[in-house]
Amino acid sequence: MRERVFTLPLCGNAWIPFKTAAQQLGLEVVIPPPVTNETIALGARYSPEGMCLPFKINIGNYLQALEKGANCVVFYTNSRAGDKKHGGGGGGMCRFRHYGHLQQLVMKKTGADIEFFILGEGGGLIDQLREITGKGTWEVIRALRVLFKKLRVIELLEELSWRYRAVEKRSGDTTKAMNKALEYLESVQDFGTLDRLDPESFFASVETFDRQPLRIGVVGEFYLLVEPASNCHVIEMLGELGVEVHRHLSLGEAVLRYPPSFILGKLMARWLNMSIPPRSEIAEIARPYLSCSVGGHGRESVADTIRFHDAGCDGVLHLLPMGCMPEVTVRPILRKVSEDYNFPVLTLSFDELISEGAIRTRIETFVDIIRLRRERREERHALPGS
Amino acid sequence: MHYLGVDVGSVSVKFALIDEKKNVVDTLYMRNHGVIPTVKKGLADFQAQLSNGAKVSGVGVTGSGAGFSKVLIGADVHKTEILAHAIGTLHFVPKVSVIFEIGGEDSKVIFLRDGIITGFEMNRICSGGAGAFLDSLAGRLDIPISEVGRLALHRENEVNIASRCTVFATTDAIHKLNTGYKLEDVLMGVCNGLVRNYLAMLYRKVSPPPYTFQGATSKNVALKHALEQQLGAEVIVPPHAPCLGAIGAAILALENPPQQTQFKGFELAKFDYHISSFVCPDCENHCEITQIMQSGEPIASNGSRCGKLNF
Repeated sequence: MRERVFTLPLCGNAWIPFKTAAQQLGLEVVIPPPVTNETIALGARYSPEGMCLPFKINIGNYLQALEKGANCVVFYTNSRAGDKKHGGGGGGMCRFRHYGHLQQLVMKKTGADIEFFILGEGGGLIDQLREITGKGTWEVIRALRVLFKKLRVIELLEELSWRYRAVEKRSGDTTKAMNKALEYLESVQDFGTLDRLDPESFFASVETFDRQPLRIGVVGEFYLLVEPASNCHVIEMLGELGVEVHRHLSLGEAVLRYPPSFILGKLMARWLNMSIPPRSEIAEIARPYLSCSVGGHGRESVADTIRFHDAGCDGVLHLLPMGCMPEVTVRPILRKVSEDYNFPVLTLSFDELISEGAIRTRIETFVDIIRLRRERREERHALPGS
Repeated sequence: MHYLGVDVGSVSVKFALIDEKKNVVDTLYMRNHGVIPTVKKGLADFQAQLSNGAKVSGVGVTGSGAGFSKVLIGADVHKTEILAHAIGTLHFVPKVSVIFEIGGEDSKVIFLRDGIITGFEMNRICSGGAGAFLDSLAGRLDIPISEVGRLALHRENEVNIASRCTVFATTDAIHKLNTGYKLEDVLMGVCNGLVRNYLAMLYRKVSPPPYTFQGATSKNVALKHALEQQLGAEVIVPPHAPCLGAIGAAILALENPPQQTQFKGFELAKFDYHISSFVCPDCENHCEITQIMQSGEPIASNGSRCGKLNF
């Protein structure tokens, strides 16, 4: 039997904790090169045309990793979220449910000799990992513990970097600090060190202005929220325009919402050290506009737009891959929310043909609009008796 | 004290000069034959048209070519075309509720309430509802684009042109001509189809009037007629309609006045500009770096994703 070399689809910085955990379990891994236009073009060439953008990027990742010597793909999916008990056919899921199997077919058609491991299918994550690695339950859990802890630290760093970038004095300082932090994190191996880390300390070198930046919440399809190359780096773009960004969903949160098993869910919540609003609360907030699940994170997009409004954000950016059924359904609903709450919402839809210039024009205009709105509001408040 | 606005679009370049009271001193509309020669010539012509003594205290640029022109002209303010158009229009029609702008290759609808932009739509992947299509059809039929509107209003029959895709619309228009329809009928059919496509793509939220219609296409009376008919309401074409983006850019420069303008003067011709580009080999992004050279020296560089080569 040949030696297995594993790779994974890129999803923001999530490859860093994956790599650490894989090494701890004694697996050989190849990380695909960062997502570029080339990756997207490569993936689009082999994927079905109407498929969503994340699928195409994944395929591009596999093909590029293959060139670097990978021969196995690990894909994490969550079939539990799709079964009857947990929300019924598609409650919380969409085409993503079929990604693993479809990608396997697509890769076969390219003629690639590649093995697929679809983790999380059927809920037996730990059993699957034991089988792949030949390690014991305890070792697998230990590796997962480091994986989720590291993922959380990275997510906190990302969120902090969005806060700092909006008010940094020297443009580029935050990005530099962030890259340094990630580089350091790549080498950290043990849970204790990760647990004691203060993410804020990595940004000590960033000098900031003392001002209240504009705040925009980002909602929508979760891959677009976590992989910057899939959304033309809009979050960085916003930061450079002096806007603080908040996302409604991170990768950790997305996994935690539909954990592979009850016990693992409990453990993950502890490792990630985060609490998520219960599904019933989300449903309650969204109910005036959407009374059922539309799959994916559609209902979350509606509820979180309202929550961002209530939290005092200046606007919401809604991201979706072209043809994403849940988010396409939500799009006109968000327009209604925007009218009712008099709250700016900009929807951007992405596919492999999108031009960065077109996105930049829309983002810049959106930021100008909300900035003018805020100035107007402040003027009005400044006038006595109004 | 004067402020200059330049709107560098895909099909044309517009210039506007306003005084400190926002009165429009002069405007100029030019076809875009490559941004460097057009801007150079435009500025020279513009200066010739102006009476002496116009001192420029600030410059605003907008449009799809604004990033580059900003360096070329030495602009102080750079804003998107959507904002510039809205600001320019609000100056002439303060109560405007919806702005219909049909440009050469892009078209937009801007929604406003109480003088504040509340939303906008812009064509994304299709230029079906934009002016370049009429331009190419006019070229093919060998009639000047400025005559299309006037001719179309002399139609005798209503012709329906399949206009979802402009390539097929051209085919259909030629086909209709070959079946014996008069040129005027076909032109009106095309104008109707263009507006239908434009509204279907961008105007999905109905707002009450007043409406304005602008962009270079607003000089086309048949398009205005088609728009009014399909909206069922009157549409105002504000003064200087083709140049409102440039006027808006000038107003934005006036409202955010620079301490010292970067403007290089109207005589750009004395500088020699050219572009050089190369692919950065440092990582797998393979960014294409574009540099603007002024008399042999790079004065601006962009395209670098990581930012290290941008200035």
